Amino acid sequence: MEEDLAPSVELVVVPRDSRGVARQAVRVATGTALAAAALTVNALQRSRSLSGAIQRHAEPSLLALVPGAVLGWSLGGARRVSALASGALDTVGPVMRAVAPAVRPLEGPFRRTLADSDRRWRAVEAESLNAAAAFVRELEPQIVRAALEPLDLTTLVNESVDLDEIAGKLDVDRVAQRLDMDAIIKKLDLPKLVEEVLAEIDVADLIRQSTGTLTGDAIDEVRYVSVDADRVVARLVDRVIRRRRRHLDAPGEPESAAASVENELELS
Amino acid sequence: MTEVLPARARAFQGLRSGPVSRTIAGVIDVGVVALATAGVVLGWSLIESLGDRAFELSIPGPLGAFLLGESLLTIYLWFGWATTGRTIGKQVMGLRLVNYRGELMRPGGALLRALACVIFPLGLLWSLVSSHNRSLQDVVLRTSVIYDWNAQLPARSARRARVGAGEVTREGRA
Repeated sequence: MEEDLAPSVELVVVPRDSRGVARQAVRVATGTALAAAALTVNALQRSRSLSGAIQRHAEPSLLALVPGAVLGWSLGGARRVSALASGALDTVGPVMRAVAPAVRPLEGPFRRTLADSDRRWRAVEAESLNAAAAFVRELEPQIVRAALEPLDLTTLVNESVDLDEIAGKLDVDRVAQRLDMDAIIKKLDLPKLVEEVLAEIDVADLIRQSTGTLTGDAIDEVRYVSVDADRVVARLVDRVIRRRRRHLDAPGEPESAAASVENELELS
Repeated sequence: MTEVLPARARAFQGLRSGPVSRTIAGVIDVGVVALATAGVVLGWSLIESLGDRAFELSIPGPLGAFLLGESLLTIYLWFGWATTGRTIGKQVMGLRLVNYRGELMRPGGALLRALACVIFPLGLLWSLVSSHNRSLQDVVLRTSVIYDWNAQLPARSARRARVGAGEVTREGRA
């Protein structure tokens, strides 16, 4: 009797330890719903502030308080609901056990109906699953894109990923081994590159300057001294022969009076 | 490529140089030519001794050495002035010989001046008292020795062609 009864009762009567499961299920469902609600409110608020409607109050806005309040109420509610659920199970359990023999004649048709439904479900199961999968596949990129769009991934990675640590773990030698350097070099037009670099640097000029300055500075000093000496000697001589000044304009220059006179002489 | 000279040096570029710079340049040039003369004597002795057993320095007489030195000096000055307007001495002192238009001399003029300097070097002393820092050779040949530290050569004196009745076309400095 008991063995016969057991499977059918199982369908309607929840075992005693299931009360914990039910309580947990209620908790999870409530938590999920609440989290979703909080997230939605947060997102709504963020979108409000992003769109420029930033409230510059010192106190938090009314809307900001809503998720917390809802969470508080709901936790209380959930505790009450789970208490009610376990109470209901306590009440329903004995009743069902008492009712079971009465509904026993119904078991056969019920079982058949269930089996039929199950068969029908199994017939379309694969198809439905495929359809669902296709739908999700279709939706997935859009959801991912929509979710990623407002995120600044670079900032996110910078803030939350220790790139140095990852770089430290990277085996650069192995990466280098896998590189096909020959192919890269072949792709480069090295002669042209070298030509361009040389043109940019002007090596000839560089050599000329570096070798020139070694001796150039010393020679320049000698020249300066001699130019000064020229002036001193000329002034000395001029003082002796009582001349006012010398005309040292270079010939051929526009300002050279001597040159222009000579040019005219040549032309005439 | 034009060199960038210090502002201090730019102030006197192109002016006629004074006696001190010119004398130092001249001393350097004479030293170079003296060395060259010695080299020629040594080389000549070597060539002569190729056939003989013993090497003997064939020293020319005083007149021979003087003439050799003078000839080498003439060639040296001529070559320097006709090509770049500067000899080694002028190169060291940053001087350049230019004609009355500030251009490089033509070979004929350069040879004339070289001969004038070698034959009558005393004329160079005139630059001490000249109001234009010119030697007698400069006055006669209308040349100038200027300060020119730039490596870039001035324009070369263009050969002038007479066009029509005594008209002169000139292609001066660009």
